[in-house]
Amino acid sequence: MNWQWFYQLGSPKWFYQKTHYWQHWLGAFALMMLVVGAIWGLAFTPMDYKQGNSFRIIYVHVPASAVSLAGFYIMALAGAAGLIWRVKLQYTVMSVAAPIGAILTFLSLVTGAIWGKPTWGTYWQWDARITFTTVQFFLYLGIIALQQAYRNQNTADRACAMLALVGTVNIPIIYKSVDWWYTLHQPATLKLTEKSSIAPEMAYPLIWMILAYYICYVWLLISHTNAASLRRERKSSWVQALFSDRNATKVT
Amino acid sequence: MELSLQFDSWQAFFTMQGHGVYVFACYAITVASFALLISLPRWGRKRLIKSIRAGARRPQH
Repeated sequence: MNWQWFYQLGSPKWFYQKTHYWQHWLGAFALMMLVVGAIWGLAFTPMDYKQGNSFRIIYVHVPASAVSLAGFYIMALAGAAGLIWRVKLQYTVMSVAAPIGAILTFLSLVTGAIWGKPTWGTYWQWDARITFTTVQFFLYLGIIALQQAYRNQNTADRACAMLALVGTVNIPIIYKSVDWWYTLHQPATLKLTEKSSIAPEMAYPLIWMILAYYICYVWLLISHTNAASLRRERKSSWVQALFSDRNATKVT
Repeated sequence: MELSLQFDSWQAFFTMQGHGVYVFACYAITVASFALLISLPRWGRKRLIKSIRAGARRPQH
């Protein structure tokens, strides 16, 4: 049986060549979806009878939380794949998932804090979900720091993969925290198995925005991975050939 | 489902009955975060191209 396709999946060069051109289209599509969703949520969604207009923050807060949470799994899975098959590309995906996830977690925390002020009367509270999301933010930062701490790339990658795998313990805690500890944060508004506690006029733009964030996340993961691959492989012939002065006219 | 504009004027849209500050602060921070996320790989790529070209121009001994 021909296993070449499987090993190609671990090759940064192959991935770069496959994704370099169409990733811009994916990016344009993702940004368009974000803009449409933001206008929908800001101007065309009816006001919440209890929270007033401040509930419009949901359209940037909830998707950021969801994607940063899922991003941790993606990072850990990429790290596990790197550990098991010792492939470069998966380690690169893991290493770039950390800064993307950190920024999205930060976005979730800040928008949540600002939303908290008019709704709960406070920016910060030691609520279970808020606290564990902060833990997630520091786990992401820890992985970024660990990546820089080793001179040897392979050692750094292995250490980060371990930390990412251990850190996944935090994910179900964040996810279930609103049910386990009934402190301040409201329970989930969108539910897959039962009826959601949100009116459809408000739910559709939320689903739209979550989808837009996910598509945007995939695009960002691809573009960050390619940039990191070029940096990691800067000594190899394919990167040198791509950017040397002789090919200057070809580079965009 | 019927889509209709929820505000009568730009004034009403920007103030949002007192919640405008919070809402637009969140959306502004979101735009800034995505701008940063989009820019990071571009900056890295530019820096790399510069360093590769600088390395190539160096005399080889």
